Amino acid sequence: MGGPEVALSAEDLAVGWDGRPLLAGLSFQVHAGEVFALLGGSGCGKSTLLRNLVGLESPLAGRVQVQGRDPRAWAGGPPPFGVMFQNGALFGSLSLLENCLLPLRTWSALDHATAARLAQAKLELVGLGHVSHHLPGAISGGQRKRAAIARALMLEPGLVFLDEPSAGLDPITAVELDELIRSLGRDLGLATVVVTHELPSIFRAVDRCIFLDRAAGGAIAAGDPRQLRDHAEHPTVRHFFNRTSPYVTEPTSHG
Amino acid sequence: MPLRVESSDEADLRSVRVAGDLLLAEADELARALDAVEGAPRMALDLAAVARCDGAGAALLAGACGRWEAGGSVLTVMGGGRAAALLAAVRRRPALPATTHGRERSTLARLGASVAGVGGSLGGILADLGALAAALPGALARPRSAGWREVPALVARAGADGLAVVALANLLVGAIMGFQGVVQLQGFGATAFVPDALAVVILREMGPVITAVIVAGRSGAGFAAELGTMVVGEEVDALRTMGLDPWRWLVWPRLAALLVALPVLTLVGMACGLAGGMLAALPMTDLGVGGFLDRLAAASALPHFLTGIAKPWLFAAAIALIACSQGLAARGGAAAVGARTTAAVVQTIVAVIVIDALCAVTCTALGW
Repeated sequence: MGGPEVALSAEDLAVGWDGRPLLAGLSFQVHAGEVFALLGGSGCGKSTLLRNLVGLESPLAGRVQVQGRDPRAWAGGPPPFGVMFQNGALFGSLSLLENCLLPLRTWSALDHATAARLAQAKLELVGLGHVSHHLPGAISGGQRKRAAIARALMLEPGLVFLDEPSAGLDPITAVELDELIRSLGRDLGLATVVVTHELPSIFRAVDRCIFLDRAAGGAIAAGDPRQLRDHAEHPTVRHFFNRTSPYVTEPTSHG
Repeated sequence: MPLRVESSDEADLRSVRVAGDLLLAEADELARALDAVEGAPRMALDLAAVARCDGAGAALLAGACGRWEAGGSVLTVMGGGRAAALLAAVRRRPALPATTHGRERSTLARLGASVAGVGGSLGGILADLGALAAALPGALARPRSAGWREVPALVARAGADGLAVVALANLLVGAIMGFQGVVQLQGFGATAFVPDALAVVILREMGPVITAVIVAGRSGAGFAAELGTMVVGEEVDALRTMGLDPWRWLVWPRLAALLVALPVLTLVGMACGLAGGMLAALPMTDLGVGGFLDRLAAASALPHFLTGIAKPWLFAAAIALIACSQGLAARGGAAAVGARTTAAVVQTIVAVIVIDALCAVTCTALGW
């Protein structure tokens, strides 16, 4: 068949806390070069699902495969994926360059000079070459997120997870970040899993998405977000994409 | 596939042929091989024989291309495939506008700045003292605008939770003093004066100081870390935007809690210190419990006790003020909270010792 390589697959996955499932029956695949989004309202379990996908939590049922292996199987070795946490999670006492050098120093035997050259190149890739010696505290929130993406790319992973990359950024910075995410998929063939709420970012950067709902306990829609915006049948999905609230905008006939 | 970089010259054209895998694991070899190729007026980079290439390989190729072009070479990239596409993608990234954050400072400049900052930090302590004093009238006039409701829990945390360690430390210090007192005074046949020595050492000095040092380590570090984390998490800013003064809301309750807890802990510490001294001294002397307590009373223990029990209030004020102002001064992330907590512990312990020394000199001068 020879379609694009599968970077991440979830089969009949159930995730939750203390043995109680929050979301169940989740099955999806993410391919190389694709930007895939986990969508849904606040508290629907997106971050819990993300923690299961990267191996920080164990699923209650089902299976996660990152490039054909369980994500927890890499504990103790270099992971084949990179993760950008919501606030960047850069180490405050290290410069951006040192933050990026950390995974290389840990997992590769490269000379310091070569490693530093590669870290600088990654920071240049995300547009931060000129501030590579700054501490994270001295740069803006958008720059911290870009630096965290550079750090996530240091081991040349085939898959990156980005938790709310454009949340809290101004529209111009958000557009730049979306363009960066798109170009990483296009140029490096990277598969990207994004957790986001930002509609403009979803329409700009995302190829496919899965829509999660707490009440339904699983996915209620999946596909191209532009298609879902125009043709979704589920009211929650329609409200989400059309930015309306079921509590405010739908008048009741009685009373 | 093994990596190969070959260059050959023909007239003024230098051809560089790169073949094999250009991956992260081979980055050192690729960097050295590319560094060895000098620039020429006309250059051709042939990537047709590259088997596999990742971001690291493309970044090193882009670096070499940039170096050759900066030296005046006219460069042509040949051969399609992923390596050429990646190289083109890495090279076409636009340079984003530079931001105007400060530059990295040299070690000498940092040393100078820290020396110059000593005056500023003394000024900062005075400013904090002023802010603390300024916050009191409002906190008393409108108790709901201050966090007084937190005080009982803070007293429990600083006092009750620290009771065991204070008791143990003072008991051991008292025992050491009693033991050494007997050993040193035995040579003069003066072991009967051991209770006198203990009264001065434990009641006047060691009891209050040991207790205050323990509280500085426990509660001082706790206050600084708690407030620092609140600053970093923007909780303090949130308080301010709700019209709540952090000095009233956070600092005064902690100060009040220590003003209550530290004197009580000191009383316990003194009692344990004397008990420890007595336990160590009794088996080595023929005083007996009654004789020991009589000597203690005759040694004018009351003035020593009154001097000792007056100091914890000063220590409490210094510990709370320094620890809270260090916490509120945290800026940045986790590293700043750690640095401020360390500074708080060091400064509070030094402050306790300095205050004790000043008290000793003052009391002696006044004949107390």
